[in-house]
Amino acid sequence: MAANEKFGPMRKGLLEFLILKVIDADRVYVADILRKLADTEFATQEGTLYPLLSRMRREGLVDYDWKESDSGPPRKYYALTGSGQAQLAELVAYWRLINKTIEDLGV
Amino acid sequence: MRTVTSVSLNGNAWQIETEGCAALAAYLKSAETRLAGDPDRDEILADLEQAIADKLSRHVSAHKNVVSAQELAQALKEMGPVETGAAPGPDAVAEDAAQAQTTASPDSPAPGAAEPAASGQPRAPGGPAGRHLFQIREGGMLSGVCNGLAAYFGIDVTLVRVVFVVFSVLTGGIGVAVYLVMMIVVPVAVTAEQIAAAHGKPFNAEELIGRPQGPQASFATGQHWRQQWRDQRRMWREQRRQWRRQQRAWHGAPYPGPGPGNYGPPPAGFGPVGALVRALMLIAFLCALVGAAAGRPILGWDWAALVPNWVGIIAVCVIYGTLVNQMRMARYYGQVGTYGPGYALVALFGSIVWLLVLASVGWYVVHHWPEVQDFLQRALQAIQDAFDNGPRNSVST
Repeated sequence: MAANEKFGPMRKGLLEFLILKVIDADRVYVADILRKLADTEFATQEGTLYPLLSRMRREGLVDYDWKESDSGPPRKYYALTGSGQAQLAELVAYWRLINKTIEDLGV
Repeated sequence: MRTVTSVSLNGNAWQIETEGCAALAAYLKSAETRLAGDPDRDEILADLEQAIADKLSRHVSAHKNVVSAQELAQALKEMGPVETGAAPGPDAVAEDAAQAQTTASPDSPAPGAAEPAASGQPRAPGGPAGRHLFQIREGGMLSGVCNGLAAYFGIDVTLVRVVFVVFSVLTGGIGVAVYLVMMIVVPVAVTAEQIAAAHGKPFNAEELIGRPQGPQASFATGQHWRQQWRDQRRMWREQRRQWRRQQRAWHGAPYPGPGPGNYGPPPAGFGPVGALVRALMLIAFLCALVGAAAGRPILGWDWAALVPNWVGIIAVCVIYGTLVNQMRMARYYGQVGTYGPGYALVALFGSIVWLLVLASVGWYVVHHWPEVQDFLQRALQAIQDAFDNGPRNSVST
């Protein structure tokens, strides 16, 4: 129980990392991102995602362009910018380092 | 049958059951508050509105174009609370800066229905959770003043109306004046947020959805109100007692205060003219009352075709009450030693002038103020609608 509570902030902090990964893999719009994360530990909702994406766009990590959809109004399709890709690479490297540290420590 | 409200979500109209609209407005309002410092606030709000609209579109089809309150609540639950990572709470400076920035950027979409409070509607201080006095047109008979008062005090609207009418008759029209003033001064609750504020209900999505509903809740508030009412009455009684003590101390006799029917013993010095005028007025009043009850035209004006008889009866009572009140004032001034009987005539003259001024102001307002005209028409229509099926005496033509 106590451990579970500690996972919350961890998940929150990693969400941005995962969104970078999802966007890097494919051009997606918000519903795609939600769907991809839905079955994972990082399932999230629009109320969280839109403000986060907006901030990431302001930081220059992602950008979007409008695309017509078959049903309904045009959608925002997100893609990584150069600095977004750089940050993703950095995060991936850092994540590996953390993993390695966790594996190595206490052995 | 359920009533439906049209709302705009990111530029498209949606038909939503009215009872669910408050939750939607609360969700968007809380999103707006939490995004207060965000430079892209308007854009995010538009995105959120669009996301809600996408969810709602699952529930409508060619044969069902209304979104139910449950479906809306489900959609809002799927949306999840708006999280910014920063601490929630509006920061006025940041908000203004954000607004200036977003209005300057060309690609900022319309904020849509998310800004009910910013559209020039007056908003009382004290936060949206506090209780504010509004006129509530929906369910109101005339302008919704009584409805708003009932919501404000958490009591039954019929009781407020009865009190208002009785108060008007007893005070000789002051109640009507109060109503008219409130009609002009008290803001009208338009948005769901304002209606919630009028009832003093929390306007926050989670609380709104989780609020206890049904008979228990209303029973609890009813109990609460009764207790308050008892306390209030006790206070009033105490106050009256105190007044009376003061009066005795001042005059050695009951003080002829400004209330009706409390002007002391019959005057000695007002003379037979006053008595004659009073008698004539009483006769005229009784005649008018009978005429009003029978629905006869007054001074050639066939008012009975426009309003039901009881309105005429109340109007006659109010007019008579006003006149008598003025007469009493005059008498009182004439009676109190310091002024003398000469002042009584002045006061009588003054009260006639006052009535004339009142009448001419009323005439001017009715003829030159479209809102008032509009209100009168609405009032007559409402009264007619309400009493079309009710009992009505014969209308002479």
